[in-house]
Amino acid sequence: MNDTAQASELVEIAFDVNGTERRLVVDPSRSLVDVLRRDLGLTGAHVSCEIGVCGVCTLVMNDEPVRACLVLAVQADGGSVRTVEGLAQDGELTSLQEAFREAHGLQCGFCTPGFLMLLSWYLERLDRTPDDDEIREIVSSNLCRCTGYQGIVDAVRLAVSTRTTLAADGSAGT
Amino acid sequence: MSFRYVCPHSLDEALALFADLGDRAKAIAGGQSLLPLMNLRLAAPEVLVDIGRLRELAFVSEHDGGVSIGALTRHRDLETTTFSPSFGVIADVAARIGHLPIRTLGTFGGSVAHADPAGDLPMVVRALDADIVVRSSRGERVIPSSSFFAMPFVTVLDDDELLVEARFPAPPPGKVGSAFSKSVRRAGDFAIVSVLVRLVLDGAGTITDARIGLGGVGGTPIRAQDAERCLSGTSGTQEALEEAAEAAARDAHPPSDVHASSEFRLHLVRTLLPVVVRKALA
Repeated sequence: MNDTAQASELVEIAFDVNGTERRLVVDPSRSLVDVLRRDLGLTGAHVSCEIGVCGVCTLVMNDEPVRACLVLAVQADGGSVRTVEGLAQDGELTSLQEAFREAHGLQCGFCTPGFLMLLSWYLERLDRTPDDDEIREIVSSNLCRCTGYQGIVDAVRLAVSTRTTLAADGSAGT
Repeated sequence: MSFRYVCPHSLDEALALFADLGDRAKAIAGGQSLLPLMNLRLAAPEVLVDIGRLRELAFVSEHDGGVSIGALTRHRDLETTTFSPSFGVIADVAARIGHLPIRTLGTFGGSVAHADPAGDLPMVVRALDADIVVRSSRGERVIPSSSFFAMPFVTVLDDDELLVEARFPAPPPGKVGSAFSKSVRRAGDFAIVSVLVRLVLDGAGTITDARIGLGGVGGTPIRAQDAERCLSGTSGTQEALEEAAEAAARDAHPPSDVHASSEFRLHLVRTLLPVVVRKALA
């Protein structure tokens, strides 16, 4: 084994992004959010603090929400990543995205992809109607400087009630 | 600024790398503490050894009344584990670490080895008197938590050593009650002050064993042993609680920083301890 540390030894990685396998060769020091944005053109995930406190980079990796600025791209090797670009199917917004639009859950929109990914994951697993405390607990994960959070909380409530209605109709979708 | 990245397939391979590279290498698992440090340019390891795929280090195993937690156990797994009453407080603590996306990746071993003075898991390990199991290519060491933390962000780990497990001893027999409180300005913040209490009670409701952990009030986590002695042998009377609160404040050596003054932290210790003890008794 070569014991001389060499900087910038590139690494081959392969992972599923929104249902499609992607193969890349990357510098190991690059974050997942950086590789998604620059190498794959998926600029939906945003970059702000880069130390994991703001949440604008939130997306779903290996079926769990993560802060993509605190994941090295090489750590995504062999796994799956879902970004905001993968939510709407054929241009049709998800009920969560519709709820954000209707309930004014965004103003500038910079934090919105992070919230959408966090909340999509959360709603997919929800098996009951959450109370206000629980909704505020989950959304406290991400910073929003525009809305004061009320619009986001309203959007979540609306999305939950929409989903319940849809389920009663027999149709699916989050 | 780049680095060499290695992803060993076995613990032995990882230990051989650390033996060879020493302080030129840093272990990365969840990266939720290390990557912020690197992004802030406070750390710049030459080599990152990714131990995140060593699944054999991810476990929570209760046996003989105690519990062993593997280093690769994610906070999210601890949060969602159903512990026996002796250790339920560990899940309570894990649930309040940062935010959910941090808990997805952050690991028990990473947190303990990182030894943040405001960290919750170092405080739990100290309060519940866990033994820290550490491996290197030279063999295994078991270090009592009372001597594991040296100073802020510094443990007694050698450069070639990896924390692999913490073993929590069984509490003495009796009814166990525990509670945890973390004082923060915003959800997800590090603790300004945190307090953990685990009590063992006999049939008459007398406290036979008390464990009190204090976080955020010293360079290393504190087990408030004088305060524990104030509670033992009592049923948690107002007088005992007040004595314990004063004793805990004496054990604390809180810093003043941008988040809170030393005086305010002491005030929080005095105020929170009786509240947490009452919750543990309930």
